[in-house]
Amino acid sequence: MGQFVFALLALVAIASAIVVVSARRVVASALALVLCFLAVAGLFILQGAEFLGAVQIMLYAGSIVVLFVFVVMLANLRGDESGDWTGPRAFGAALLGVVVLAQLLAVFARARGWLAAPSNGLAPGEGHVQVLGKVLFRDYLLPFEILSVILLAALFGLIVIGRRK
Amino acid sequence: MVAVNWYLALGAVLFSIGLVGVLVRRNIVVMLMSVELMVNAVNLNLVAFSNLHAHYTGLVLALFVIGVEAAELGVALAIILAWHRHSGRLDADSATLLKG
Repeated sequence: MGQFVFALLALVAIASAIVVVSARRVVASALALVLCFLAVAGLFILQGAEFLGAVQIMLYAGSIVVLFVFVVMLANLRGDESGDWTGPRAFGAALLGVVVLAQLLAVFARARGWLAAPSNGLAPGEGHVQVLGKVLFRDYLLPFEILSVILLAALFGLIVIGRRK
Repeated sequence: MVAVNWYLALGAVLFSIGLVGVLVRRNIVVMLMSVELMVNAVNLNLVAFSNLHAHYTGLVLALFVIGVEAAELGVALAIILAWHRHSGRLDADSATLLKG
C-alpha cells in the first residue's frame, strides 16, 4: 500500500515538474506547480510529517502560487516562449542537469543497502505535532524569532519596492 | 514502508528538473518557479533524513526553509513587477543595465 502510494505521488511530482519547466503558457506552469506541491505534501504525510504537509499545502499550494498567478495577471504575460530547447545553451543545461543527477544518485547509491526508517520514527498523529512544537519553541526559539524579523523586513521591502514612483 | 533511498532519489530528480528549468527558460517568472521546485526537492530530502534518524531537527529546518522561501519569493516577485513596469519585458536576457 505504502509503495503504491509513493509510486503514484512520485510519478505525479515528476510529471508535473516537467510540465512546469516545459509548458508554453505561464499559467499552465503555475497550475502544474500546484500539482507538484500537492504531490510533495502527500509524500511528507506519507513519511509521518503531517504538520509539514499541511503547511506545504497552505503556504506553497495556496499562497505562493496565488502570488505567481497575480504576477502573471498584473504583467499580462502572454507567455509564448517556452525556452530555447535546441540551442547550445539547452545542451549545456541538459548536460549539467544529467551530471548533477548522476552525482546525487551516486552519493545515495553508496549508502549501505536500503535505509529503512525506524518504525518508532516520527510519531504519527497528535504526538508528532506536540513534539515538533516543543522542539521548535524550546531548542529553536531564537531562530524562530529571527525568522519573524526576516518576514517583517521582507514586508517593508515589498512596500518600498512595489510603490509607484 | 518505503525505503528512504527512494525519497532521496526522487528529491535528486526533482532538483535536476528545476536546475534545467532555471538554465533553459528565459522568462523570469518561470525561472522562479523552477527555483521553487529545487527548494521543494531539498525539503523532501530534509524530511526523509529526519524520518531516517527519528529526529525532529530536519523537520524544523524544513519549516524554516519554507518561511524564508516565502519572504524571498515576495521580494523577488515585487522586483519582477518593478522591472516589468520599468522595461515592459519579463525576459531575463533583457536585463542588461549592469552590462559593461
